[in-house]
Amino acid sequence: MNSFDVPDSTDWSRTALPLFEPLEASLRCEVCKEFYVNPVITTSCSHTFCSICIRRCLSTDGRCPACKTNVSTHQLLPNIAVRDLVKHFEEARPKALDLARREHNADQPNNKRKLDESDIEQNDLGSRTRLRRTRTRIIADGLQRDPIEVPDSEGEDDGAYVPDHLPEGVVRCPICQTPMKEEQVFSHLEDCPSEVSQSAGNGRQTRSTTNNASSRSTQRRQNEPSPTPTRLPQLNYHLLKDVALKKKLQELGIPTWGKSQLLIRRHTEWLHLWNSNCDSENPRPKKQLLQDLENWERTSGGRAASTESKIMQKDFNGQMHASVHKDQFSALIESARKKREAVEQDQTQGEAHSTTGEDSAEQQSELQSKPYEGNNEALATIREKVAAVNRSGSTLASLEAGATSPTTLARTATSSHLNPFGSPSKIVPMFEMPAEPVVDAESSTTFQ
Amino acid sequence: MALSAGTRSNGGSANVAQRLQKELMDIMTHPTPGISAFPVDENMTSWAATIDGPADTPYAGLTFKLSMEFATTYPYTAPTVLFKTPIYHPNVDFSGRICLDILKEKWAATMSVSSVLLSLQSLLGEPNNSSPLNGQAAELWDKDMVEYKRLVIARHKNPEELET
Ligand SMILES: [Zn+2]
Ligand SMILES: [Zn+2]
Ligand SMILES: [Zn+2]
Repeated sequence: MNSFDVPDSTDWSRTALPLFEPLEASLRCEVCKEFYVNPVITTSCSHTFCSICIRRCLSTDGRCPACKTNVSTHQLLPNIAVRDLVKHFEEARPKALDLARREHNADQPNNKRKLDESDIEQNDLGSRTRLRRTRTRIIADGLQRDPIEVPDSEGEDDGAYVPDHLPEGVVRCPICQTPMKEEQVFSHLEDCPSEVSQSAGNGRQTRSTTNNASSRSTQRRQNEPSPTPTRLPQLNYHLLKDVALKKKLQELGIPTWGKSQLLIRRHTEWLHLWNSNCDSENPRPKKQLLQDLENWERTSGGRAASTESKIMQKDFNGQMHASVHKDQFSALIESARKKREAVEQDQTQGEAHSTTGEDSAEQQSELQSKPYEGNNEALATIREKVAAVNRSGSTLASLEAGATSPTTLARTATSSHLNPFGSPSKIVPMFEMPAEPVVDAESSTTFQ
Repeated sequence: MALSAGTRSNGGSANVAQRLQKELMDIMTHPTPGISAFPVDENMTSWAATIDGPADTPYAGLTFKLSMEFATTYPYTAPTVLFKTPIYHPNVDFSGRICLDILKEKWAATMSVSSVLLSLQSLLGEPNNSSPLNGQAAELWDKDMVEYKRLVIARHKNPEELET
């Protein structure tokens, strides 16, 4: 798997299984857009989120983010069916996506050469025939190995089975039979989805294989027992003096440094981490939760870079950005431009757009409203970029080494004067107490 | 086998960039006409966006540029959104700051770049004139649409005319 492969549901959109996109999207949390982790359902409004996501929302405003119903943390129950669905979907995903992509590519005459060199025989029968032969072949191969049948669109088998000979340097994985370059085989074998592929068209067998796999891993997990932790109660911070709060944090074994606002935020986040772990099928050890808390400390807590100054330095149209980030974005912009040209050619008689500055150096004016459709190059670039950010740990650490232009500073100063809302660019702490009195989710007392 | 959900963690380090990347993928694969959005920095915490003025409003045929800034607390807190194209509108001040409930107290973590831009687009045709930032605009909207429209067009600049 590529290090920059950050899967999301749009992966299905250009495959033979586009309907898997909404399927996968429904297995992802609406808050974090990841597959549900420890999904819980709200008993008051029946919405499902990751335990930690809904707990963070409730700390922020006490409401379900989907429907704004008041929800207390007592009204969250593990959603076991969704948990299992996610687990099995994630297990099935790589193989299914691979098949769906191959089937889709085989349907595209333009991509055919890249995909399957062996099938290119310069014949004079026209692309339609070649296309059908490719399909037939893949179907034939598929029936040999995989429990997926792809009906031919014309519902006939003309028997044009092409013998399996692979291009030079390409071999099949001895286990799952996927063709690949010779040198890739060893690394592939390490995570070859062998069990699923060998089930050879037998649905029941596939299912039992999966069950075996999951029960095995369940057993493994049960061999390392960790006692089910109990949920921690919310504190009424309003009534706690700093000293008492520090003592609480100390008892919990979490850091006690910082001012009282930070102590409160840290304790709140610890409750999110701890209590969502209680909603897990396999709770993680406290040591790992402490690592998560440390990550939080770096990204949003006491060790977070000053987001405010960075955001205020930033200037939407600034040359600073253009120069600092030109390299990272040039590839992306290039693909976007190409795509836009294509789109514009398609739409020559379409409605006139008011923004077409062909010579503008600005990124945005290069981008029409649909520059990315099907732009796999751009998609790949973004994935890579995001992966790099993820690797760097802190989302902000690598951002903008200084480079503040006088103009920007002047603008910043002005805007803070004119600001009618207080300070919109000021970063609100993640779990700042709400301005309105709310019902204390855990203890049903009110705090300010 | 896929990573077990029990060991996968989004705790503590739930990554703003990861969530925004998924939003970007979604915008790219399912573009909404009249709306565009794209990150302008490598961490994806700063985006540029455009909305087209809706038909049958004084903003029809005009395109507006916006900036969006995402804090590390996103999506639990709303992005900071500013109009970069000067706009004459009851709920936008002359620095581009916007008064819109979903960017403040009505924000929800399930909202997204797209939903914000769509809300802003509809705000153009349906201003909230009860709490205007631009009192004159609120008054003209009710009393003199011809003059209102003249001021909208006078104030608008195409994105490529904007200088830094
Ligand atoms: Zn979530
Ligand atoms: Zn709900
Ligand atoms: Zn294999």
